[in-house]
Amino acid sequence: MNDQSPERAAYTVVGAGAIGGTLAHALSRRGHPVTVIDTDRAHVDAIRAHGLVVARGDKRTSVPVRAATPEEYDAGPLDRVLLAVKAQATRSAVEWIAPRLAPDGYVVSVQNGFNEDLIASLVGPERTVAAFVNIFADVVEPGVVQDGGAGALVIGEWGAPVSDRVRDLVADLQSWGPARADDNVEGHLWAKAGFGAMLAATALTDAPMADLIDRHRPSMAGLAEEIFAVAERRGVTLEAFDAFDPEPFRHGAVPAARDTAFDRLTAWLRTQTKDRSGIWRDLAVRHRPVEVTTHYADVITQAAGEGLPTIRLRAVLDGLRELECAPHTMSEARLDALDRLVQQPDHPQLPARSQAAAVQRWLDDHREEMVTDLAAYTAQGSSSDDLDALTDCLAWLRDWLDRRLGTPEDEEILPRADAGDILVRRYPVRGATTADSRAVTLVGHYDTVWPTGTLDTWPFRREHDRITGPGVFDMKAGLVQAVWALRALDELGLPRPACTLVLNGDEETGSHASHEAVVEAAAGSRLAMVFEAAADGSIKTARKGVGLFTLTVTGTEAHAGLDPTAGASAVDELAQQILHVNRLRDHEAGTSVNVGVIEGGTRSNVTAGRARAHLDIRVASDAERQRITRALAGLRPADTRTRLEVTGDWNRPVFERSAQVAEFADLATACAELLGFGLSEASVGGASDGNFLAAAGIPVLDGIGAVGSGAHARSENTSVSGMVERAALAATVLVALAGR
Amino acid sequence: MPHVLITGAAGGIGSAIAEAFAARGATLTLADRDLTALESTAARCDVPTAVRTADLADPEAPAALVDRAWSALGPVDILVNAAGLYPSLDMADVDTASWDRLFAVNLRAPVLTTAAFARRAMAEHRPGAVVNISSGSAQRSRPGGGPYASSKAALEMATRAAALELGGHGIRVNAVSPGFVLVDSDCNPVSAEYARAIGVNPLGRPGAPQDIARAVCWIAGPEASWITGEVLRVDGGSSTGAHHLPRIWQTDDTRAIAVGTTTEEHTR
Repeated sequence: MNDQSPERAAYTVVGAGAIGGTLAHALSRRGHPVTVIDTDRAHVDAIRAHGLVVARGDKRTSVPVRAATPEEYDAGPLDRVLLAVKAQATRSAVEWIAPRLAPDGYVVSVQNGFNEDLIASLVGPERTVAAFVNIFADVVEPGVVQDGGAGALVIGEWGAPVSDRVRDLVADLQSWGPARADDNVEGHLWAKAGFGAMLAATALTDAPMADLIDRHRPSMAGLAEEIFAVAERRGVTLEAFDAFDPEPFRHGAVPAARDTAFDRLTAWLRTQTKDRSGIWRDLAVRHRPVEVTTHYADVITQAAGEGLPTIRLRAVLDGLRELECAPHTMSEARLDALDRLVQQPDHPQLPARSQAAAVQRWLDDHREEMVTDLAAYTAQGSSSDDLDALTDCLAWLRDWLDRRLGTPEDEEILPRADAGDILVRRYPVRGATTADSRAVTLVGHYDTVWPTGTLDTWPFRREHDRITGPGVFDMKAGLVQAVWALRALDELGLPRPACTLVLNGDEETGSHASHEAVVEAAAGSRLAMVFEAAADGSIKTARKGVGLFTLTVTGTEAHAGLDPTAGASAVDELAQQILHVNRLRDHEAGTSVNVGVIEGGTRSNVTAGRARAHLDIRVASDAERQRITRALAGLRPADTRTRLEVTGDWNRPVFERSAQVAEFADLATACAELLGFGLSEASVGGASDGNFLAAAGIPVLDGIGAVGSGAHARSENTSVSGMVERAALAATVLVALAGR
Repeated sequence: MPHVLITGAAGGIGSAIAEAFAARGATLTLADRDLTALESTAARCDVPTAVRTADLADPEAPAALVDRAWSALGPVDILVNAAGLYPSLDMADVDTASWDRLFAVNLRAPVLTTAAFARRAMAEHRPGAVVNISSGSAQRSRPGGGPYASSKAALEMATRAAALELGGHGIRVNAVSPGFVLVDSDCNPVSAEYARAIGVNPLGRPGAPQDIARAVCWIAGPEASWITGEVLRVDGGSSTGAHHLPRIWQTDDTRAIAVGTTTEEHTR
């Protein structure tokens, strides 16, 4: 191929895409005879017809080059080959090159990924040249390459010092830009692999690369760390390129240095013409498979061989593979999930076997005292509507707490006018090693639904393991368990965080007078443990929000017989509205609507002037709460002579299973496992003070109280063994929190 | 610290493995059939430890065990399949029920726990290590131990096959093949005579469960990160050859030559 221009070396560029096209253009412009080989028929035809075009802004420059598809090529042996095909096409391209390659020729891999080993295995290491390339170009139409601005090109021998042929090649490529020779191409390739993984992650959604890298720094740093750990194990010295310095992204780097590196990297990315990655373009625009999964297959294999994790890298590649089939599912949520994967601690710090076993044994030894305490507490009637009884009960509780837990560090009694007073007692931290000094709030209520006098006919009873009595399950046993959990830790000298005990006296009637104070007392807590009864043994990690509404219809009264058309019936209108309101139900979304009570009209021969429905609406998400609120506000009468009015409000906000709630539920599950029993989670329709606390952003572990059944019913019961088990669970969770 | 799931953790070797991982600060989930024995193993492991009863002959039990351990104490990093039966059963006496039960526990269960472990690890992109406890008899049967030896031979191939397929996912699968180990187990009473005969090996002492446990910890750990599909013999050298046979050459001539050479070298 030296016939055209003997003074300049001839090059064959296999794969005339973004990188190959850019380099072919630059070499040809400088007078090198260039042949491009490409499998894309339209691309080859366009280059033959109009030359190879590089567009830079509005300016297009065309150079004549020979172009052929691999099948058409019939010229002589190949001397200098620039291989610029996608990584996954390397094998087939080199298999095509190998029989045509001159004995003293070479193939230089100007590709993404690690392809040198494969090339060397097919043409021999002596005919393989390595390169690191970072060129942001793009093929925008057949025959036309959009220039991507300055980049980097580093060429060297594969595992040997720079040779004369490398120096010659670098000299020729000065026509492109700052190409240079280097002994450590591998160090550049690994640095690029780390940077490339960040760019790959940005293709999980549709937004500028710089912004995504900025917003998801934990994921980005985590990805680079994983890859650089493999490079480090291979003894590779990483090299900086462009605005990317790999050093601050290695494991254990100084956070401030890393922040500076991120600032610099994102600032540089914002200066680039392209704000989306080539991978994003492959997925979103070209709808073709991405090559990045091939690039990193080798990294993953090497990591596996070294026993190094590639959790984040695999998650990114899996996400990209999903997007190949469903590009419309690009979403920043994918990066949010990656952030969580990075931040998720591998294993929670859990109490040792001896600690869990000691707590369990101690509480088992004290089970009869726990039962005695519950009997005495149950004997204190505490109906929500009997203020005197509540006052007496609270006095008894304070005395009992003094006896069991000693004098608290701090006590507040928050008086309520029309409800039981609120008790807040703070107990200081004991022996905890955690750096987290926030308190854990233990929440409970001391009122019950049982009217004063119930005890006369239905006193506390215990038969073997079974305990019955008013309020034992909801939630007197729960409070006894909480107190004995603290006592066990004190007696055993086991560590626990600071604990705030908060007891209110109007939970059963909706905590109207207490919920703000309860939330305030718990403000700044790490966790609120709500000692409400368990749901069939399960802790409650989601509770529905409850709205109590009244729909009042006002019509016009008239004599139904004498003047049937004169009136506007509120009953008729309400009947229609009930059907309408019921259509707001969405069982899948967890929304229930119950029209529990209706009333209206005066006499059968009077067109009703007034009718009313009482609604109980429960929702599992805030989105549903808003939908229902809007729908109720938007009710319009079918009979325009009537008027509608909706009164009432959301009584308790939704308690959703947030990531924090899930984390503490997992902790409780693990603690239960250490104690030898299983713990499951439930999402329930009933509300508690947990709803208020969750809405205030405090992580809630609810339903950690009594096991049993029959809340608000004569069948109410709990179990002695359950009290021991649950007290041990609460204590073990506290020990765990003291150490993490 | 890794979360290690050990089956057969109430047994002699299984409990030693549990204690060895505990000494290295692991989090443990221990499984066996007998709760009381498990509790006594757990009591010697002063790390976060959960115990779980399971009959691994039940086809549902292996996957349920892995899932439960994973959900309860978090992702499992290391799975040790130490549960096994060693009935005395001559090849002429084999019947379907005894053969199937033996293979259910010794082969199917470790294969199924490995599969369940691999599925979860792959789904969460986590690396992992599996160690199967094999036996020297996988290569060399003994009278009355043919079915057991057969099950262990199959387990060694299952180890290599799993290593082959799971390596790309960062999951290593190896086996440790103990020689004779004194475990003082009620299930496998060993006569003094047998113990003497089989305990003869180049290193001159019978194995202790701790010898096996240390090897398991090592091959499951980061120092063995480039080892997979390996069957590591931990047997005091008893598989090196017929150590107990007398020499063929007993003449003084042979010794004289050897001694003479040495003397000559010294005098130079």
